Amino acid sequence: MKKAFIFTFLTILVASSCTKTVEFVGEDSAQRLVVLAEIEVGQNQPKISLQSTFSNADGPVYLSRRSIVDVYVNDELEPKSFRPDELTDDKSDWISGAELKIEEGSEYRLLIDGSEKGFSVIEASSRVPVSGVLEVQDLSSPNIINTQNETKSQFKLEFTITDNDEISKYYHISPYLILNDGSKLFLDIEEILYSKNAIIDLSHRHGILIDNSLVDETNDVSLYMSVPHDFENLGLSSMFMHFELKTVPKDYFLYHRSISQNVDAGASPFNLPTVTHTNFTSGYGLFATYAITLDSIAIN
Amino acid sequence: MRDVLFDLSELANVTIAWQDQIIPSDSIVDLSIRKQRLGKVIDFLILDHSLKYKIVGNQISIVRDQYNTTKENVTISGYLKDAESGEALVSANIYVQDKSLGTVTNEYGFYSFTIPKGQYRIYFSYLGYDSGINEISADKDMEFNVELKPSNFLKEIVITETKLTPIPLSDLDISSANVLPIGQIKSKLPLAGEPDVIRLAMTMHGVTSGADGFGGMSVRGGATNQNLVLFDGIPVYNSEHAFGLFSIFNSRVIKSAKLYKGAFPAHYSGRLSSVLDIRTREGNYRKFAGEVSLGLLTGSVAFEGPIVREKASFLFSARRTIVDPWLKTLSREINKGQGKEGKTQLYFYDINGKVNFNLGKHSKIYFSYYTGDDFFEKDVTTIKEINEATSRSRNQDSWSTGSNLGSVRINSRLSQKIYLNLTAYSSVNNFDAFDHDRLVLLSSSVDSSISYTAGFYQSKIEDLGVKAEFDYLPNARHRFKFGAGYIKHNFSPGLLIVDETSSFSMNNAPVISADIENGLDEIVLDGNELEVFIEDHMRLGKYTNLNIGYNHMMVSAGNKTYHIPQPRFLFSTGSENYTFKTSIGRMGQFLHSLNNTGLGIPIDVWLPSTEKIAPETSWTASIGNFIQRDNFGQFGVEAFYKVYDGLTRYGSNGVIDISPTSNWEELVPVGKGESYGLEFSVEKSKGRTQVNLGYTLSFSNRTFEDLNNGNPFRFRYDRRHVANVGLIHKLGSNIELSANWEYGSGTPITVPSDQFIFEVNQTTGNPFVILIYDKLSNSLLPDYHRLDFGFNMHTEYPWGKSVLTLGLYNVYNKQNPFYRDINVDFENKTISYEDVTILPILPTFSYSISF
Repeated sequence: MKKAFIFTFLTILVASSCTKTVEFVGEDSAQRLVVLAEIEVGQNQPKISLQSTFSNADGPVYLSRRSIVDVYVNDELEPKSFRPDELTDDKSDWISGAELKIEEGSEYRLLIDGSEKGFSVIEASSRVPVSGVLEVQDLSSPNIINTQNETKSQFKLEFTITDNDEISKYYHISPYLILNDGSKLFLDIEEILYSKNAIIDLSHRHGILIDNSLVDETNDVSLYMSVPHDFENLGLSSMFMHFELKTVPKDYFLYHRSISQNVDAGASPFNLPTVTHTNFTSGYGLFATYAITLDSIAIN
Repeated sequence: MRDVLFDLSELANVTIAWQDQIIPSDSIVDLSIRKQRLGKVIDFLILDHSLKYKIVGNQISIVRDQYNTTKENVTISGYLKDAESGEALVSANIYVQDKSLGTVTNEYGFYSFTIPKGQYRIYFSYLGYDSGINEISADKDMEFNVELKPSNFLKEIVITETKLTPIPLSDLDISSANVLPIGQIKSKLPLAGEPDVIRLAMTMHGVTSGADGFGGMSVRGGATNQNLVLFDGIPVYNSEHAFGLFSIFNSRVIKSAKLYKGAFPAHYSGRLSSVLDIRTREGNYRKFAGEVSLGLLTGSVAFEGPIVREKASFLFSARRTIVDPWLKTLSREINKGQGKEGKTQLYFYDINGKVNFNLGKHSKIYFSYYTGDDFFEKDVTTIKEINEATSRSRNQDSWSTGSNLGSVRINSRLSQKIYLNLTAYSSVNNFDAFDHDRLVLLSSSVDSSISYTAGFYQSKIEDLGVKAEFDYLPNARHRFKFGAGYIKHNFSPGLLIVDETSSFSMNNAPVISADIENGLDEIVLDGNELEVFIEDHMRLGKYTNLNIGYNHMMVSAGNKTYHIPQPRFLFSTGSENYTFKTSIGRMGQFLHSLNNTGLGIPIDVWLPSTEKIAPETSWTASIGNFIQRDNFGQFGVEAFYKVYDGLTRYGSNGVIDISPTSNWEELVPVGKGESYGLEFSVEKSKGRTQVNLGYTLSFSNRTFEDLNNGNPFRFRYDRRHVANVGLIHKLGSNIELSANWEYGSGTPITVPSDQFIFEVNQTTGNPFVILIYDKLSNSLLPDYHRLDFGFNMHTEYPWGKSVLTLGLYNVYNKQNPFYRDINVDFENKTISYEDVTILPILPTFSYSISF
């Protein structure tokens, strides 16, 4: 009897904790443009993504050809214009109409006038940093790990990056392997051994972000990474590991760090919220220009 | 004057006798009297005539005061004790007949004051005790010890008064401070029947908590880590059980508790916002006594008694949750019903021990120890059959947080005017969290295997401290305190994650937290904190007091030494029925704490100041007006203003790795803050019904260059309006009814805007949503309010007494949200919001017996 009473009491206590759906209206509920404009040095026809935010009531809005999407190069008066990419089904893709050459050290300004759809004019600026130099110190032979559910090949990597830009010391590194069919197999980062505060393992993209100014005194970055396959059966086109090194501006680093933290937090109220970074006035997203360098190292 | 004396004698129906030659014949008197005591009127009449009165049998005789002509001073000193237990009475009031002189006892019951030679009536009073009046002939320095008898609850008399004397006697009276009514702690609607000193403090105006009682104590818009909580002089870092639902202090051992909300006197330092000074009892010097109590959630025992009668005593208490065995069994059954193995358990306990001995006539030594812990564990294993294999997936989460405090203290009366308190202590506080996921696959057809991931997180602080404090009372107009203190801090924050995948081994035992803890790199950050202080509490007039002091704090961090000057100024003046108070002071805090939840739950990482991160400082000021009415109580209004500098918190980097080579200091944002507000209070403390009303309008914000685009944002504890109505009514001689209603504006939270972005994860190909947080503290939870009822019944027996407490917490079951949850529907591309409530209507029960 006593036991039943206690069980009943505890059940009531647990069951009494409850949830209540609330109607939430933010301070500013207007839809805004979301721009993802990451333009690489050497890209023949840069592409940017343009859409608007969603809300519970409204789906996204896409701009039409009547909108103006221009990139200004340094102090040039005449911009290079983007137009909707009619070759894809994705209404958010826009490509550069005129030839747009991105060069290290140059500054660019992106302006978007979407007033035809009721959006205010938004703009952002970006400077292309001078590329850093990646030096791989050590790459271990692959360690094959078998479990019931999966097999993976694990590597330990150590490298340093030398800065060549006075202002920007931010990088995005993506290690990958090339398969026989020419596709890229990106490696998962499993554990960062040193300089943890300098490195962000991205949750929404391949690779890691590095703030080189925070790398510890030895300047070595050391980490474990893997691919979800038996290395011997991977079907590699060559026994080399490749590295894509992007030397990126600070806005790129801050934006992708905030997105990755956003994904990791998963809207949990038990985590500190991350204010989403943007370098657009009155809009969201990122405009960043950067150079990519490639490097390779043989796998033992 | 002679005619007036005749009229008084007739009106009061008392014989007043005097010799004609001692009454001045030309003394003209003009006064208006209403409801005053006869003795007080006669004192007033004869005040300036070197006369005094004596009560002889049933008549009053007016005689010459032979001592009043001399200017020679004498010092009266001694101890004030409880007549039943022999325990010292702290902050008890002592004042001389004409109430122009007075003092209070210190933390050890000692008092001293200097007066001209003469015959005096001395009044002794203390909350919850019968007042004492003694006539003394002060013709030489003397020791005068007094014992007061506890008021019997069963008597039909006024029991409590917020102001036992209309004149301010101590620093408590002139600061923004509250003496917490420990005697009423059972009346203040204990949650689940467990009375609690910090919940009692939260009923004071200007004090709020995090969400629904969780999350610690915020005083006048300050952070929860800015409160100096002292337990017999030992600083306590984590003063909470169960995330703030209860404090670690067993109310059965508490003698007194003072809460300073504004600028505090110079002998306190180390935190920015407030001081909660808790003193424990010593133990009954005269007889053995005990208390056993049982509530819905906890059980407690306390024993005390003499080791050597009048010379040495002990005090012991232990408290523990009692509901956890049932919780464990219930969780086991629920898991079983879901096809799993495992349990959930949650408990806390605390133990206090104290012994003290007299060392001769004028000194005493105390040994005290506290240990307590909170423990939570969820350990669930899911078993599945997959083809021909059996998989056992175990998920284990546990955390524990606790403190161990030990001290040795010597009190010594060095002379009639000087008192020394010397304390040496050790304080160890720790928080551990362990997470273990383990997958075991058993199969006859393929190789079996075990894989696991385990993580261990630790935040540990070890302090060794020593403090010497002198009380010097040269005369009735000055009370000096001076001294020095030193604390050596050691901090050990650490995080280690390991994983392993291996072929099956029968001897491969599950990982336990000690395995990981042993592998943790010992990262120790240390710091040294030294303070010297001096303060003078001056009586400038009958109702005018000034407490002026200076505390200098020196902290060393690596190769750098910080100096923090902390001037303090507290002043009050007024009249018998009116008090004006003002105070201003600078505070410094060597310690920082980083909290990685948005909810105010106190899982803090405590860190010292370093060469790159300076100590936090604040300036705080307040000004207030209070009106006292003898037949009612007190009305008050007080304004406060605080500015903070050097504040720290986690920034946009999120949780950071703290290790010698991680450059973590570069990633801790440093900022400023500001709090200001207005407090209104009404206290009716006389009669059978006591009422407390409080309302606070306050603002609190923070500014960090690296956060919120450098714009100010509302602080987590910025609750714009807070109101509290408390009522205690004594029904009959042994029954007490109580009600308490609390209201608070919703706490600021950060929620995403209703605009969001859908993206595709490049690594997994799955859609994910980017929630847009434009700025911090952009929304509020709904307003909080709650009504509690309580009933106490006291019963006396020949062998002791009992108290039965019944009540209801959250009578009308208000769903006060603890946090707001966000749910994403990827298919329909919508977001919904839910407020989650934790504490519904709850019964309160406890039964205690004391003997």
